[in-house]
Amino acid sequence: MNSMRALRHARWLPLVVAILPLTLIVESNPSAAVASGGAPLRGTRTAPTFYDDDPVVRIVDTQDASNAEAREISLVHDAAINLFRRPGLKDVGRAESINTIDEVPDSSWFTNRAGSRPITAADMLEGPTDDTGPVPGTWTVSRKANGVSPGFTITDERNRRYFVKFDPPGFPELGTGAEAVVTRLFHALGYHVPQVVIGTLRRDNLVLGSDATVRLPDGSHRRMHESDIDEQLRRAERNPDGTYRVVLSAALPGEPLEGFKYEGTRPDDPNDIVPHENRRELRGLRVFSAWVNHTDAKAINSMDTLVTENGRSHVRHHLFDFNAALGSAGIGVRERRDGYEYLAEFGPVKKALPAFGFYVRPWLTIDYPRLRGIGRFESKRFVPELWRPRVPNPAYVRSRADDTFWAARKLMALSDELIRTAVSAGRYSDPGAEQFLADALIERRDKIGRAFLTGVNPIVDPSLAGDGTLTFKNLAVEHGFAPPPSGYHVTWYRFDNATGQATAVGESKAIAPRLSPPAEALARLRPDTTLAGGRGVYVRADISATGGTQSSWVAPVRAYFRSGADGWKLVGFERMPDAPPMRPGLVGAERNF
Amino acid sequence: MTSDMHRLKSIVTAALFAGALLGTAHAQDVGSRAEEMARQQEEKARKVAAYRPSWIERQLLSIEQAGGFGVARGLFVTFGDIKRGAGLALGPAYGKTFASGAVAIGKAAYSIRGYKVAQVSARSPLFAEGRAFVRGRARWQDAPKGAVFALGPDSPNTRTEYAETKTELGGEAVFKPVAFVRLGAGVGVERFDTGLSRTADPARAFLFHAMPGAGADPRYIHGQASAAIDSRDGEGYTRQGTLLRATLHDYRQQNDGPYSFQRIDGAVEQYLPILHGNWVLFFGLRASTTATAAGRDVPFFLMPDLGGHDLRGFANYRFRDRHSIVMTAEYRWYAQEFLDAAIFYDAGKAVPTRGSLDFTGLKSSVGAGIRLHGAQMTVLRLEVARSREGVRLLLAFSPVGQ
Repeated sequence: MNSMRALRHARWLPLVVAILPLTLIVESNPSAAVASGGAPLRGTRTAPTFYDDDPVVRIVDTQDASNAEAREISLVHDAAINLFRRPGLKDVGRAESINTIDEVPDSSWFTNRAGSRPITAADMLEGPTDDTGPVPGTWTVSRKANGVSPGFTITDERNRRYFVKFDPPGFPELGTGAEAVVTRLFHALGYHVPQVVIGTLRRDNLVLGSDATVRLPDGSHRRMHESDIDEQLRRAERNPDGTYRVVLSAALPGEPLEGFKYEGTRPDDPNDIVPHENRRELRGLRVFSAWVNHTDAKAINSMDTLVTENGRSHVRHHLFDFNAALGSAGIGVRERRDGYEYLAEFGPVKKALPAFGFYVRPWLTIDYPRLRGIGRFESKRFVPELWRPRVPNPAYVRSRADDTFWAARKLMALSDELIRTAVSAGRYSDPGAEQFLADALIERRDKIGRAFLTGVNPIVDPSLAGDGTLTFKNLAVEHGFAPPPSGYHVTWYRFDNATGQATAVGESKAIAPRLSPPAEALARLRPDTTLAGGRGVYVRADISATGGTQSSWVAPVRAYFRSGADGWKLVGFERMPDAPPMRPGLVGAERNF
Repeated sequence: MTSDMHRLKSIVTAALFAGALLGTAHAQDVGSRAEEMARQQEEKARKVAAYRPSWIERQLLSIEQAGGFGVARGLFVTFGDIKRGAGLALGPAYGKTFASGAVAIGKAAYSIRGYKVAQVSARSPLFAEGRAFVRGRARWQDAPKGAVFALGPDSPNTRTEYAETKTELGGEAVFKPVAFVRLGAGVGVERFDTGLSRTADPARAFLFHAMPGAGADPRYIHGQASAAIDSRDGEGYTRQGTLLRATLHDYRQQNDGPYSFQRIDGAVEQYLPILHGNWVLFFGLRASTTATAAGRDVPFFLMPDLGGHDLRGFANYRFRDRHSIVMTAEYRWYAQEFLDAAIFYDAGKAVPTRGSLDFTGLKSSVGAGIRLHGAQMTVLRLEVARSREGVRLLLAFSPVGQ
């Protein structure tokens, strides 16, 4: 893992990027081979549309995955493949890791937090666990990080293991602050991340472990020396008092299996049945990454671990290594291009080459604040739809409007207060820097909401009362990102769960997001429990917003309700039921910066 | 018969009924979403397999685990690094990086023009708190088709070819007392064997034989000392910064002959980024001068020369004499993260006396090109340059002037 991490800023990457396209075309497509077929949450031909336990709120890993093995992923290969071959399934459809009401259930990938349960400021500040970092005293160094970024692994006196990372020389608080802040934000958004705290390292507190080793170029190891520690520290930003500000990342529970790719599935994990590019939580990661300018979400910045619970092993999927987010590139401030262009992208080259330099990228003219620990991060010129990671991400380029809507909704659930609390975890010494960062994140969040909550029919939380009254919310209107439409239109259907057939029974209109079916339709929608197979207990309502400023709102969302002892229950929801398959590409990024 | 038919009918009916039951059972054996998902996981469990990276990924991973392409490790292919004019060259190399950080590399290469090199080199680990290292090499190089033009700034565009074999053993220490200052000193033994190229036109052999040091085959102790102030953001690819560098060479002939001399090479480079590097203006000035004791001379193959890499509209080694000066102005613009385009103007001359080392009578060329590069290295330069002697297409793997 360390060797992988060390290479991310490798200077020779362009050389490889230049050569690899020639060789990659001869490779077979591994993703096609490993991709699991089918959508787990959708029924087969013989299955009903909805099961009694729909919508599921948690995906259980039922198979033992103890045979899953650690596999290191080549940074260069991963980057080159994604830049030049664009792996993954070619037809983009609805995300497959969702339940029947268009939400992502809790799973080994994701745990619903923001927008699903209350999060307090204390929760945000604490992070994934209550681990406050290594206890003061002797820290035993056990392993050195390779490559350009200094770092090593330490064990404290409680025998807990942490990965230590530093700020790059000349850029105090830059990488450590970014890591502490973004890790907390991503945890609140639902991702599995390590516990990360900012601490102070004193050289005197470090002792060399008896089995501490350094990996050599030929793959062998040698014993680590005190000079190896000193050499690492020489490449780190040092405080005036001789100490070092560090970020301490707690070792993840379980056996490390290295990262996951953003396409295909792990062939050695029986529970990994949804192609990763079709996981909504990974498609939606595009939105969250844009928010915090996490341009480096790639395979080696993820970590799968083999976790054993109740006697069965399963793979848990984590995101980590956020020191190259916000305005930081990990080894310094991020490049101006980051977030605006891929590392290799033909379109801008076509314009720039013949222009003798007079095709000036808009991002070259962005002014960044000169604030300690902030680097190149701002919100005024941020355009969410146009944001790009360094390398095309197979999941991001398959994010549809319903995926970005899902993510934007989660993001909007993070209040200003929670964002300011997360930023405070960065322990920026300049209050102005902390204020700026929080303000920028809040403004970027709102821009994301405005962009992605309005681009598709924003109706959420439909509810059908026993008297037939349908209520729902217009999320874009609720957040003030769009004016209310002139009205709403609902087409009512009886729905046959066994056959999937829907029969229109009436229509109704209203100005407010509250309406009932016409009387004659209401009678036909009443549950008919005399019909076999539950045919009489499902209702479908197609809801559209009319007369609004957004033409996309006319396309109806589709809500399904099932009658039960407690009344009508929402069991199905599709935001884009009639959307045709699309080709991979960043939706919304067609317009110019 | 009727009984048999009836029995058969019964069996078929029973089979169909059983089939229908089985079909129903199949449709109903998944009664919940949880079961449906469990079924899919179970299906995948029957075909789990270890991840098998492709051959390319395995090789790349192996290189990355060793520390990257810059780390010498095992067999690899080496490109170029013979002598200017060799053309595209490649060959096998073997490197080892030791636990201390010391590096040893052996390599051999052969070019499309028949140039050859064999070399063993070693570099110490950094010491003096990372500020110093020493390196050395033993090298044999054969250049059978070196260009020879007459000496002087106004020599005619008429060439012949000579063969040069150089054998050397040397070492150098490099010390960086502070970030921007680099000091170096080294010594080595060098032996040259020269003669008219076998492919040379006999009618032009006089060009070679008229050259000082032609066929002299001197053996030298070559001492050198250099000092540089270097604030460039990358030696191999620069977007901003300044370079001031001077190198003093002392060639002391060890066999009989009048070819002991000193040579000083100076370079000034200034890179000015505009709008965060969207444009880069580059100005470079290089000058070389030689000195000899009375009655001694400088062999032509160690004289300052111009053409090809610095005066790009002219052929390699087009101008050669005791002293030289060349200037370059370049306007470069950002096309993409790893791609720049540039237009440039070069002007220079090689002259017999130091007094002529001024800015009059310069030969010039203009051109344009693109560069594929990394943060600190030039991967490829593709340029077209034009001078009064024609148009040249250049393919190079190094920064301008090197």
